[in-house]
Amino acid sequence: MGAHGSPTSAVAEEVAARLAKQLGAELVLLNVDETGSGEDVLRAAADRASRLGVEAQTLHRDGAVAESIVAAAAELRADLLVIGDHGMGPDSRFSLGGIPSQVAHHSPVDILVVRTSEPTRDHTYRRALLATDGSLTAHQATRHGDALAQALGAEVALIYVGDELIGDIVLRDTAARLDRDGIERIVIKGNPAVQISKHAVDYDLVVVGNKGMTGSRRYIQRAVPSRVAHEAGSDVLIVRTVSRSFFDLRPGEGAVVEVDGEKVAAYLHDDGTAFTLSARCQHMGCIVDWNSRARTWDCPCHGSRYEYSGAIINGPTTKPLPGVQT
Amino acid sequence: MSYGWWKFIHLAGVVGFVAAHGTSMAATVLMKRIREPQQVAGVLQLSAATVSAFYVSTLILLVGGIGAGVVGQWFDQGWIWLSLGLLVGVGVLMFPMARRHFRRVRMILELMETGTAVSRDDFARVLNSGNPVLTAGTGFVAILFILYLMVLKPF
Repeated sequence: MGAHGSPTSAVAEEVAARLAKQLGAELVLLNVDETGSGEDVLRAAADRASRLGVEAQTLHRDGAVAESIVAAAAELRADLLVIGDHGMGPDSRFSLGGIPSQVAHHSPVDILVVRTSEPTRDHTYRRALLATDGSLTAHQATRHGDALAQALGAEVALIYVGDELIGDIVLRDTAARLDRDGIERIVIKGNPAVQISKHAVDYDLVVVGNKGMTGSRRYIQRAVPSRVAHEAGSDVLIVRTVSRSFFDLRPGEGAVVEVDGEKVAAYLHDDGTAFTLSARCQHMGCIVDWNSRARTWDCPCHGSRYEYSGAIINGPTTKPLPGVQT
Repeated sequence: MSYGWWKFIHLAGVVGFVAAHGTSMAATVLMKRIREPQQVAGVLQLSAATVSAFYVSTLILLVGGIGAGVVGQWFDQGWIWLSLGLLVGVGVLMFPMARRHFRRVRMILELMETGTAVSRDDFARVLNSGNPVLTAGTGFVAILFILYLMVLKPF
């Protein structure tokens, strides 16, 4: 949790403290500044958390704010980073410079963006909206969001923006995977970021995956989760489903991770053997997705499939995924 | 470079274009006829395998055609402009139509592989949702008309 002593920061701190209490999680309050007032800010924030029944640890860092927050989250192996949205409104949606925006793009863990601009807003999560595009990574995000919603006792709805025929099937399938057949489902045409943000008004929390927020393409096209984080009226949980760290993987799990800025398809076998491959499909260079059910790497562009070891299952690719030294 | 060479490059592009795009056209029609997911996946793979050849041959076709048009001084005639416009226009029109259907089929195949609640009925719904004859027919008629314009140069 990033704390910097402002009234808006206090709102995010309170949300973090309440979540920590409800989920039985440890809370670490982090302050980054070079003015020398950091210790006082942290003491005051810890006192406020204590009044909510949470004994928080505190951590002070010097240096560039966004980089220090991201580094601390990685070092602490945090499960969730909570940050206020100061400077992230719809008007700044084309800006990449705000600290929350920078943190959201580079966070090594899931990040909760708290709307702090309305001090009277109640940040209790009673209704959560889980967004999916039917991809394997989006499914990870919905599963994560659903688990959080269940832990908080929140109602859940699913949203798919795009093709109505596929949306209907995707949401029925997602509901079945979450074992929530009676769940509210919203299928709507249009721009995903706009529609999700529009529907967010009726919910306390929106959950999206971080696909599109990393890599150089984000400078060309604003990713859906990034736009939602800027434009939605509710708090936004961005689940890190893409570019996770290799060290996040559990046995039997695979993910596209980032190593020295390169995307690597990493799989940790049940026996502890690690497979690290180029994440670029050898057909036309799209980034492959991890198929957790079949334990394969699937290309979303033209359907090439690879075994977890990189061997070809089916084309159009004619070359296996090459190994990468990490 | 002489007109003959530009024409050769253009025709080489046309051959590649017809071979690569013809495969996708056939795949579109075939997907509607065969109902077995694995077979449909195979057809889809075949179509996807021609994507890069399609883009490269289209580029060669355009470069060769424009080069031949410049060297042959055809650009003061209407047929070449109409051919170019038709190729671009039909391409722009057909791309989203075909892409949507291929994406739908690819998505449903992926969901059948990884999902838990996707049925054969869903698969059939998706296959029936496209109109391959209209898509392939539009492209075929457009190509025939472009061929007419280029061979007969009516105006």
